[in-house]
Amino acid sequence: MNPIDLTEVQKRFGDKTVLNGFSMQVAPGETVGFIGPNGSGKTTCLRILLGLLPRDDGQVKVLGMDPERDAVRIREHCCYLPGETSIYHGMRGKEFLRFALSFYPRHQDDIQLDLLEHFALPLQKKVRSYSAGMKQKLALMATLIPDVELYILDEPDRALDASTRFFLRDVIKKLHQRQKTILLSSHHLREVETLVDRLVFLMHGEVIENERVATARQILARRVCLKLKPGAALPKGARQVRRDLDGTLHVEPDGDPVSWLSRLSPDSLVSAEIGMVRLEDLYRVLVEEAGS
Amino acid sequence: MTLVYLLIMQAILLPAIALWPDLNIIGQQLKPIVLMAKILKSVLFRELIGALDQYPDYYALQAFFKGGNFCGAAAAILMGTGLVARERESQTIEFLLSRPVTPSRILFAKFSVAAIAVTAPIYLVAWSGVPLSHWIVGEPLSFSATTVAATHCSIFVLSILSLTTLCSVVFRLQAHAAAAAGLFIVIQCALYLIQTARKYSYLRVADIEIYGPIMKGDLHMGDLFGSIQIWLLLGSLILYLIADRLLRRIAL
Repeated sequence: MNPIDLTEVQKRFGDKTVLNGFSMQVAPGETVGFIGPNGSGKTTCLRILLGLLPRDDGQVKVLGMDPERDAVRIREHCCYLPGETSIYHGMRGKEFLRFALSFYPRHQDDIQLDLLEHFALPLQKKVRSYSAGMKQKLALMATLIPDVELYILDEPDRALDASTRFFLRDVIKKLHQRQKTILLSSHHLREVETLVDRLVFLMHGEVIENERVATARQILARRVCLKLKPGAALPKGARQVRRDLDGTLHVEPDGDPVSWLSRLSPDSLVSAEIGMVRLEDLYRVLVEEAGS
Repeated sequence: MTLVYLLIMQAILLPAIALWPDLNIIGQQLKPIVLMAKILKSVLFRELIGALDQYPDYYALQAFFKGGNFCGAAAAILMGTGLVARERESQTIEFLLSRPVTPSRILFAKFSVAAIAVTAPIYLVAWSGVPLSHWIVGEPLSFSATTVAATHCSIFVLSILSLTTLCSVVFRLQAHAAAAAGLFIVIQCALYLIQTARKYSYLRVADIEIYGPIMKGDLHMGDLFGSIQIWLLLGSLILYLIADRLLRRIAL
């Protein structure tokens, strides 16, 4: 039995179709990255999984149960980190943590110790005095400490600095080693890739096939992002894809990108990078592909 | 907040008890005006002036009509409108609804705490008036009659709390929920002050004509649940159940 099993799920808000025949399966102990631009339907999907939103059509099974009928039983075995910071500002950090953990009978003491030590939050202080990053750390503690079968994390790396993101990666890996099933959504493609077994790309409420994603990544792998000094010109044999506001050029060389770049004088170059795959670029390519 | 609400009610009641002898004398002096009011058929004016005549009526006016009804309604609006709307405003509703508890249990837990917070001070302040009346002005008050009156006042305030809880589920912002509930109260007050429309006012179910006879001992605890109080409780239950049903389908 798959902990998460969605088949042909439809969800509309008025005239807008948010999920259009969306299907996804997550195997036991699997860590899946849920990737998509804003408004692609990620959060809606996660809310349907928890029974916070009803679906219009299709089948949904979470831990073998239907979220619309057995939402409470599902949530007993599942921890959810909402996308928006969901913390009581009037409470002290420790009060919120005690309250949040009181819903779950079993806790992972080693993870609790790790999180307490690394995050070093001032738990005696009121949450309203916390920064955005500190609130996110507290919300993460409330989500990752309970010992449950399934973790659903909506943008867990939001508002976190680089070192905390790396630490979070280690904690998620630890949960993965314990055969916990994890579904996480994020905008940080590179970091998500390093800790998940598999990525699911969502666009306009539909899953993008892996082949299409692979093609888009191949295109991006050949792209060169470079900044030129004023007055310098691009060598021939490349197509300019776009120009960012900071002057960064995205070009697609006709042949090998390394040999094309070597034709450029080092005096005219500020910086250059080959094959940088950012999520927004990936989606841009996918949209272009779909258009063509 | 409950403590502040209790202190405000106590602060209203204490000087009212202390001023009783003077007000009683003024009341006697106003008798001709009462007679004139009878001619003018101003029922409300006659009752208010008449309430100064007998201490239980006067106490009912001060402790329940002025104190319990208005302070209780204000507390019910403040607490009830925040039950769900404040969770939505501060974006904690998603956290709460994603825990392994049903929305009904969440609402029940919140409503129960709010119900105790708005009704307990009514009893405490009303009971405090029994010894205070005896010590300060030497007027005896029946403890059981005071308890029955406090129970009626609590039922009235609970109905307001149910209404404000419903507003809290319907509106996304607490301010909007409070405005809707406040508007209802203002309209009821306006109706109450128009003699011909007074019978249509919701305040009519908890005014001096109701509290006066209770304080005189005309109504016992057993009688409470055979008349208007049962309808108030039933109305409160219906409003609560609608709120509960709406919360189960709340849009995040």
